[in-house]
Amino acid sequence: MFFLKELEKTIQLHPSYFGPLIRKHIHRELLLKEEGSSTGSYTIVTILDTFDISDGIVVPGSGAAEYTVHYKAIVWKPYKNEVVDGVVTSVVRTGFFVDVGSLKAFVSSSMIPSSITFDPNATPQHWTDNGDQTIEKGTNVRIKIKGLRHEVDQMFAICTMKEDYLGPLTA
Amino acid sequence: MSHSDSGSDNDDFNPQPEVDEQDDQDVQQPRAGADVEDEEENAPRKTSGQVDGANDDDEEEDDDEDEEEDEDEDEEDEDEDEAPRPHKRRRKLRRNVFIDAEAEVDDEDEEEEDEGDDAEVVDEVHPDDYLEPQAADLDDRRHRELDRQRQMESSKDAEQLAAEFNERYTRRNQIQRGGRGAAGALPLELPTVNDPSIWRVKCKQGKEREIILNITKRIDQYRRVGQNVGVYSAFERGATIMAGNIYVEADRKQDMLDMLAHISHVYLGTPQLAIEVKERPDLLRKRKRTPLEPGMFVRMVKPALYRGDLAKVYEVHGNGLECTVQLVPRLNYGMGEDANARPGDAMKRKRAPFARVERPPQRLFNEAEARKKDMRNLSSAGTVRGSKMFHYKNEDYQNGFLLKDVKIRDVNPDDVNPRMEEMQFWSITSEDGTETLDLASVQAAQKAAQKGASFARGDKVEIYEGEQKGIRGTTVSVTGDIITLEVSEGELKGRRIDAPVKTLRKLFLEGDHVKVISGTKHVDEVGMVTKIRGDRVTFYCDSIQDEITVLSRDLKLAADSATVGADSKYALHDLVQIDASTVGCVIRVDREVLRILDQQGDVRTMLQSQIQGVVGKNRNAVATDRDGSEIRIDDTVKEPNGEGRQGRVLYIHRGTLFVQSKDILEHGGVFAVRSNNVTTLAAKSGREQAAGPDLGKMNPAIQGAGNSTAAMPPPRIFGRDKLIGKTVVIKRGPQKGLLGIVKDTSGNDAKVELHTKGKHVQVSKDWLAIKDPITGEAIDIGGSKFPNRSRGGYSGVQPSFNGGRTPAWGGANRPSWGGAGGRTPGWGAGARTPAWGGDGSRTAYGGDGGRTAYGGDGGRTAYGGATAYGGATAYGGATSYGGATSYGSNDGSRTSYGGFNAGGRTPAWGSGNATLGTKASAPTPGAYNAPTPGAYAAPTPGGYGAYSAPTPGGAPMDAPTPGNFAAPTPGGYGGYAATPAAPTPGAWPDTPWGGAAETPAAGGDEDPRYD
Repeated sequence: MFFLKELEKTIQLHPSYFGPLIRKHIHRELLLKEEGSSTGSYTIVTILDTFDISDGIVVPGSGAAEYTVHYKAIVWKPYKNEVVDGVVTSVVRTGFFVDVGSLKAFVSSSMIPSSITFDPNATPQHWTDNGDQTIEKGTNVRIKIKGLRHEVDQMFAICTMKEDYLGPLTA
Repeated sequence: MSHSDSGSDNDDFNPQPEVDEQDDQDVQQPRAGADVEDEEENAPRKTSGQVDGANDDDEEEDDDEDEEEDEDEDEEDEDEDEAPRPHKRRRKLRRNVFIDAEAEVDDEDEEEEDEGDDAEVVDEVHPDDYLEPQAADLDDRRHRELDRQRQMESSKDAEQLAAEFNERYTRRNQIQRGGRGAAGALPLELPTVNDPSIWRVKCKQGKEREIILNITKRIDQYRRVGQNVGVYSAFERGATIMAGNIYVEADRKQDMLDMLAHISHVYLGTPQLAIEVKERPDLLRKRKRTPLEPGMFVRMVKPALYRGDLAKVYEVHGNGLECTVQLVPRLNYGMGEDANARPGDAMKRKRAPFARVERPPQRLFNEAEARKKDMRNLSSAGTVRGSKMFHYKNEDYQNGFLLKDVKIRDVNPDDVNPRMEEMQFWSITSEDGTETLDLASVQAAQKAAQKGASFARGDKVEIYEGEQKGIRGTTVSVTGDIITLEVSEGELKGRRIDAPVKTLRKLFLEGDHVKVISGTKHVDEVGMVTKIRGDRVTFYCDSIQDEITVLSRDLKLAADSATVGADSKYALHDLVQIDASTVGCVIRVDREVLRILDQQGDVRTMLQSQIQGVVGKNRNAVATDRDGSEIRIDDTVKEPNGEGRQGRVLYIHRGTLFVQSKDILEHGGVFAVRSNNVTTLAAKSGREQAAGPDLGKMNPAIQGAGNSTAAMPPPRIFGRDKLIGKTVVIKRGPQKGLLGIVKDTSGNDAKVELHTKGKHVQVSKDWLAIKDPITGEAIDIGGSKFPNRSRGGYSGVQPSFNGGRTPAWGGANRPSWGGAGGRTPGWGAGARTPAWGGDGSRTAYGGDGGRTAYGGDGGRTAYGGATAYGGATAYGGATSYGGATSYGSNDGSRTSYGGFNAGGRTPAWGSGNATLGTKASAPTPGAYNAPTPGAYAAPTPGGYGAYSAPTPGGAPMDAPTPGNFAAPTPGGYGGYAATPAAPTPGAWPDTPWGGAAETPAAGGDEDPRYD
């Protein structure tokens, strides 16, 4: 789910950057480092323009200055039972992996409808119901998150496709 | 029996003391004889009946006892219990005999034995027989009485007799039971204070049974001599916790001591303990044995070869004493045996004392192997239930399993606790090739083993058995095998209830993050649950990226991530040294072993101790791809052929790349590949390009000014010295002011032919100043140092200036800026040389390939455009430089100016105007302007016109820049973009330059934001 979230980041600036362009440096730094990053529980999708840079405070001993930046960002936080769309990245016997933005998800064979079976002989390997549903690398699928694991800088999910309206999407 | 015994018996028999001893003795003999004779006819019937009855009785009671006390005692040694028992019973009978009304009958039993003796005696005393009748006559009243009684009895019909017997003996049975009764079902039969005491007596461990046998003998002896035994029973409980003790039941302690006196191995020195009444039933209590059922898993106890092995009950034999189990055989197929030895020898050798049984590993029976290695012991035993049976070394094998008949006591159905890896042999391979374990039976076996310890506070549990089935809750506390849980659903919500462990199972939900805490080899693995089937939980393991199935009792909810190998000094994806020439990347860390992918792409499993150490990550390592492009760590590379794998470089080690791919699952996505088999997908090192300058470190723009000289070594001049043939003026020394032509140079000296004297003089190149032969204008070329100087004065200055600068601009000199492509061609194509050459080529600005390079490198060409600046009207540039000055404030531009100012690299500036950095830019152009248009007025437009055409390449001029900055700080660059655009047209409204310059500005379409 997407949220508008107020965030804060502390940026340290080497004295060599002190000058009229300080704000630009900080802005660039913020965009470069924060956009697209994942905190483990949510991903920063985009940083909104308006942000507030505090006065710099020189760190004793190093000469660098610290700026606290308050900004608003659109973040995405996946929830259990959330239905998401993603792209299949790899297909294995035990299921398949899906990239949902920054979230890597696994759909286990037990969470795939029984009508869809694994075909190891096809190239590329895929899951298919021998009808119009085929899941191979690159397929867009709609899945539902069953479990989430958060790590320091990434998220991992177990998802299911065994419910109504879930499955491969026709492009 | 002795005679006196018989006498005493007779005393009993005829309790009347009227007859005096003399009489008695006299009379007794004949009477005994008469007795015998009398009884001769009746006794057989009676005794037989009595004996039958007694025996029946005995047996019956035995049976009862067995049923009551130890239902499953059959596996206990029969003689162990029964040895003392018959005696006990018989004593009992005797004892009761004395009280009971049937005493006479019972006694006859023994009398019958006596009779034999008596008969002999009678025979011996036969001559006296004739005397007896008189003696008998003296007291025949009794005899007659007895006779009459017997006659009456005999006259009773058989049916009545049977009823009578029946009544008598059942009554006696009841009495007996009431009197004694061990641990029976009825509380009435429990021992009371009125029963004889039981003493515990210490004895030598292992000798218990021997002592009991001795006691039985002794009782037998006592009984034979008619001595009152006083001991009712003695028993031992074998090698249980009660080993080293025997238990003796007697009325008085002295009886017990008498009985045990002089029996070896009994420790009478230690005090004997009287067992309390309420504890007595426990003495005979047996632990209830789990009944065996086919399909159940057990642990082997007996054959040493299979001790502790898991076995599956195949069949329980009808007699209840034996069963057939399925075992995974431990066979070596005759390996390690002397093939030529006679069969008996092997047996003999095996019997060697203290021989350790070497156990071959568990493996399913392999027919082919047996046939190959040990043919003579193998025979086929037909087909049973569709699968072949083999007979090998007197054992039967089916489906690879050994079918073995064992005594039930040789298997242990408790605490089986099968591990998954043991179970794999019994897994069922289904049609689609997936293996499924017969976990139902595992559960049965494991359920019993479940202890409270496997539950922890906070576990979600479900009661799946009993009245409270279906209740779900959270564990609150664990006390032994009782768990208190707080119900979380339903009517009882919030209530706390207790439940025994064995009715509980842990509850997980799909998606739960769980950790294996016991049971299998997967201990400590962490993953997310994907499937739950009853007690079986399948989860997707984080570390091996695969699914694992375990039993729910082995799992707990995990708060942390995997801890497998957490104490290892090697971490996942470490590069480790395997041996002097081999390194590998750790792809899995287990408790003891590491799995390592080596340079060749082979996976090795190694002990941690076998590894020499970690090879650190060398951030500076560079490899070249198949196209000669450099690859650095964290670059993305791709196999152009083969499997087409793609990934991020983890390590570079001697031409081998360890690459991690997100798309590959095997080996955790890591693969090893030769660097010349891949192409790099990053123009620059990806990491650096993406990250931009680190604001926490020195600004590279400033930093660059310091060491950029090092980055661009002064070019070396080959071939003919450019100074030769030039018109020069000598600036110093005795010939100062004289004009001449350089004829030759060597090292730092030049031989100058002076115009004036027509003679050659040797002058240091430093002392020369080049003069324009046409205008006479001095051009400081600096001889061999001309890279630093020559460009300055020369018209070529501008190209060189541009050439020098452009790369700087493009970031060529500063990798950190990562100017797009600017460097690559310069690097690889040696474009730089022409650039420099360009300077030499002041003449050649046009011709000397510098242009080509420029052409190739649009960015620079654009600057070629900037060159126009140089030539530009008075550096209209100057004004625009004013803008450039603003550059100075602008960081991005400052950087570039850093390069620009470096001067070292852009010699034109360096020499041309050393003060540029500090001074306003105005003077600099001034320095340039004057000569340039002046001298080259004519050619310049032409030349530049020519340039202006390629200039559109000016667009690339932005190209590198946006590469750096466009995204993050468009704002900053907007100004920058304006700079070239605005002044240039202003300065050159009519020249092609205007367009040319504009092109870059407008043409920054590679990144619209640039505008």
